[in-house]
Amino acid sequence: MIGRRILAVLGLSGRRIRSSLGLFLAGVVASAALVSIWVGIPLYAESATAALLNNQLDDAEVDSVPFGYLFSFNRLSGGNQPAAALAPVNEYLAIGETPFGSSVRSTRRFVETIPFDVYLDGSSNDERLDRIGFSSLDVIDGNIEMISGRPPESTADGNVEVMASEALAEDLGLSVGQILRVESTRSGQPQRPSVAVQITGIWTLGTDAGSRAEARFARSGAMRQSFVLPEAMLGAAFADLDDSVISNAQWLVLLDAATVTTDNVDELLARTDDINRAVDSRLAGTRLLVSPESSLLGFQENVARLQNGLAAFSIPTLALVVFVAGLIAAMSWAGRAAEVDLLRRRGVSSTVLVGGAIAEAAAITAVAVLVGGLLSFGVAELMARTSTFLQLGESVELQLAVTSRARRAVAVVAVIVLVLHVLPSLSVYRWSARTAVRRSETRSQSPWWQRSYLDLAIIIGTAAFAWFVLQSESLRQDLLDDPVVILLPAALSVSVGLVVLRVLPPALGWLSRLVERTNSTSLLLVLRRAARSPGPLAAPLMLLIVTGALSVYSASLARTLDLQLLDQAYHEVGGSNSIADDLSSTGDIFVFDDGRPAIARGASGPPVSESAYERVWGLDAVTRLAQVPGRAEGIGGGEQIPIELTAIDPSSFGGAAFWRDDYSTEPLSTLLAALESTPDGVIVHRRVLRSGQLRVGDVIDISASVGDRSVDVPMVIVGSFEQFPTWSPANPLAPAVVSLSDLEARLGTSVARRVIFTRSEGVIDDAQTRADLNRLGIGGARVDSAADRINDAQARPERQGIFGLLTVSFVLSTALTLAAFVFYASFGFRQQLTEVGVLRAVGLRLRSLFVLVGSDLLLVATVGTGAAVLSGVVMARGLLPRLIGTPSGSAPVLLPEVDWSATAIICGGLVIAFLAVTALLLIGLRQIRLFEAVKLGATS
Amino acid sequence: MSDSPVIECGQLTQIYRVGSSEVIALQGLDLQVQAGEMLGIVGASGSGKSTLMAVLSATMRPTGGHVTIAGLDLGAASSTDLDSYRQRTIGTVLQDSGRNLLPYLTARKNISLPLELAGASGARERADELLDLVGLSGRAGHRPYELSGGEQQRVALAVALAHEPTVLLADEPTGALDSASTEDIFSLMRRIGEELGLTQVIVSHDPELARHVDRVVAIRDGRVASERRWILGDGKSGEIDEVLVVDTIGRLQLTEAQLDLLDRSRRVRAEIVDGVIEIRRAGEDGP
Repeated sequence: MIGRRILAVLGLSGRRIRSSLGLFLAGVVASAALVSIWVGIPLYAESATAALLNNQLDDAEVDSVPFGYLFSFNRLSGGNQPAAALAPVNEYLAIGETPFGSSVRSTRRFVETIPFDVYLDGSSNDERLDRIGFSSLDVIDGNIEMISGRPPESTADGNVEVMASEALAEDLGLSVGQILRVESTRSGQPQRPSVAVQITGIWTLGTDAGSRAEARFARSGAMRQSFVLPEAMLGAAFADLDDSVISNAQWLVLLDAATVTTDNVDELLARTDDINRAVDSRLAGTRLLVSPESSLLGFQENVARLQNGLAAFSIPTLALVVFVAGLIAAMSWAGRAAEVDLLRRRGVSSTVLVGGAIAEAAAITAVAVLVGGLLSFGVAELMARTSTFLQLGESVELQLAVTSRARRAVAVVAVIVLVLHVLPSLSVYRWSARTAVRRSETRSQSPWWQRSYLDLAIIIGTAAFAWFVLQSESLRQDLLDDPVVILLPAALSVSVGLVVLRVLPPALGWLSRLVERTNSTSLLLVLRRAARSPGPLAAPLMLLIVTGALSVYSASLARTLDLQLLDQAYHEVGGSNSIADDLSSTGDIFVFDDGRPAIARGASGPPVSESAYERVWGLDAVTRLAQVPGRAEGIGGGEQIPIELTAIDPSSFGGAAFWRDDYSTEPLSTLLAALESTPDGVIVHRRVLRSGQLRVGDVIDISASVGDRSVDVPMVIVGSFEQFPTWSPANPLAPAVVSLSDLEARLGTSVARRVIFTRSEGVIDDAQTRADLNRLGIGGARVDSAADRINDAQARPERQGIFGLLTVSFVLSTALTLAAFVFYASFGFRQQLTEVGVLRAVGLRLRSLFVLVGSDLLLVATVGTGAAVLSGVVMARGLLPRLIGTPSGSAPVLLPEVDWSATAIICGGLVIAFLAVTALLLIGLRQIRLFEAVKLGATS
Repeated sequence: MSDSPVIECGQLTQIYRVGSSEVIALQGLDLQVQAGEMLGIVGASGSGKSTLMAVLSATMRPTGGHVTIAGLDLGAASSTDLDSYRQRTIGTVLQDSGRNLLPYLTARKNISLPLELAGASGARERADELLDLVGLSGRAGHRPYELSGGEQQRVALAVALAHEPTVLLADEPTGALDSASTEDIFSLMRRIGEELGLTQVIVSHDPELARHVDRVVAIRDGRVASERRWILGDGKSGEIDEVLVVDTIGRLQLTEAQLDLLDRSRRVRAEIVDGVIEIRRAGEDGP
């Protein structure tokens, strides 16, 4: 019986879903959007952090083990050991049966013997070549390359083959094929036993060295300064000389970060101690030198930080999606009063009805979780590919692991979706036929939260929140730690929406009194209805305002951060690229075609011409720069001001260097012209003016020295600035800018050690720059690239995550805004059918009816979009400088930038949606007959 | 028709709130309906008919008095008992077919659904049986919007009878129908009532209601004011016999004509004269 009941409930739910497939799909889409963002964040956080860990592994310095174990046996703690003593440890750490689980990327084993006396075969004991040890590396692949000969092989006939490094062979004058005599170093033995070894090859470091961490032993001095023989020969080769020949051994176990997840971090951490104990028990004196503990803890911390930060940033978007999903759920149940009444009268219990609601909600949840779960991988991929706002970079290989974090997120969001869809049904089941009728009567009233003044409480709360945030002025360095950047605007946009809903009815009432004087009956009807029954307007207007305002704001936030990153990179580099000489070097100079020195070079060589620069680099402009410490002092005494004397070429500086209009009150061209036209002219930072109580036109003493040459000249201040390329506000020396040619003439030497150039277009990477520099013959110069700085910054997971999230949020918010508008239009139209029919029946012309329907939509669209764009722009302009600000010590100052293109997308989208929906409704209106309008309206 | 009352209301009072005002819909209504009886209820708008039906169908609990249907005191019953009551004891038909039938289900499915939700077996067979009973065997697979108004009400009747109730409550079942369809529906209800031994309570504005039912009760201001019966004369003609109803505490509502006769005087004198109660305007012959 219970089974039949359950089947009946499921059957009813199924039929109901089929009958209102549109609403079901709308519920699924909104819920799937919620699931995709909710689950996409932990997926991204986990995989981005793992990718970061793997990158660290690949970029690791020679001596560092960024993510793995390094065990070391040393004779000082364990005494010399026979080769066989290593076997238990080797077996324990063997990759096939590794105790580290499946996350081992590779292992390397390096063993050293005690030193032996080495002689050329046939030479006397007085002609010892050196005292040298032997070593073995278990894997000799791309880490080394043979210069001559071949690698040594294990032999069964007692012959011992070795290879020597290029350096060792060069030091000892060895060559392939030579035979050496090896004796124990122990003295007091007149007839010491010896072993003959043959050099089969000379090796050097390989170019295909795999990861730098894997090449650790091949790069080490220990291997370079020893003879290398096959590991299998270690025991047998020197048995005649000594029983215990092993003095050092190291085992490197590199873990694969791609397989590390937050699920197995604790397990890996717990294993570390066990492994250490196990290794020590197998070979006394073996110690764990490096463990992945700090990397694993850092990974755990980074994942949590990234996930929490992104989760906080996603709150407004999630709230919007929840709002839309809830709206659809409520809309779905609002039309079922008659059905509930009918079923209740048929004796269907509340439990059965709620069961039906749960069955429907479960169906929506199941489909949403399935679709949203799949989409969440796309969201994570999208976030990983985001280079900046609304821009995707190259495809990245992201190892997306479904960890317990992701599973928990799925479970939580599934419950939220389920509750969201069941909740409205609970209130519906309390309806009787009487309350259902009453509900339809009260639908036109203001919403309950407005009637209970909850909106005023929210507005006051938001104002207090804003006041607190703006007063605190505690700017964080990292955006991820400061979600208030998005939470405050979200709260403010909700408040704007609430204020608009409060103000709109009286404003429209007032407007309708003006329209009364015209003949526009339709417009008057629309205005009066909206003024007297604002209830139906509340949800679509709130959604339009909040999503629109947040979209404009978040797009502007992203654009501001983007531009700030670009400005910061170009400011610090000075232009798109710069080449700086090693400041410690002196000597020959690098000159342009006309003989002007370009950059000082450490080594002598043929000068590279400016045309060569242009040919190689494809430059727009190039300029030289010198920066030397100095002092400034006002004429007539006063305090000495420490300065950074910056010498530029005024004729080329403007074309090549980065400059922003807010750097000075005067245009750059004016400053450069003044510098070029005034002999002994100087332009100074305002700090110099303030410190010395100076003004433009005053004369100051400038002194500086380069090497053994110095200058001390009075100079005229011809201009001032607040900011100068390459200069940081953290620099205690304020910049004073002079003409480079003048300074070099006074010093009698070249001082320019930096060349700034601007590329015409395209981005070059650091490797490309270095290769081009090598072709120019400038080795050792420091190359700085704004593009590389930007690329590096954009690849940081937290920035990428936030921009990815902002991109996803923007797309979603815009889609929601348009969807809300279309929903309002279609459902509003259905509700208006009776009215439309009655109005037609009393003689309203079709044209007036068009105006009526069109004006209704236009009212929502214009009020919603207008309030959204206005508040979004005001928030971007007013809040961004306060909420993001410029971190102290960095330059240039952040300039808030309104993203007008994104704003245009929102407005354009709404205009298109408005026109499309209006056209469809008008077509519908033309086709609906009077009778149908009244009948449909009555039964809808 | 048996003599034992299936429905019994005593001093039934119903007060509810609409906005900030209170509405006294029923003011001590007394009513008894015998098993197998077909009772009609008439009354002006706001007289309390629909409220009485809401109380009888257990969608509203009485504020005062008592109401017992098939032995169940609706005022004291638990919600589970009420669910069971609605599921087994009564069947309801309303005027608006949108409130009788689910639009997305076929006629057959609409009939079988309450049985299936109650966990009963043979729901489909029972639905076909009822469709046959109401003369709509050929329309089993049609959805409500594919049926005429009269057909929709026939299906609604079949739905209401699906679980073999003992009482059928019909609120304006013919309100949206033309006279021919109205005649059909009432004939059908009469036939089914007799076949199944059903007790029926029908609210209607139809002035001819008394011709279709055993007894018509007129409600005024939340109380039963009078009862009418159709008395058949010679041939096909007949006339309505109306009697006033005195409630259990002795209240009586005079007809409009009687009130006119008393010049709508608010003070009257009632005297027993030769075993007959005489009502006169006070002061007409008094001191």
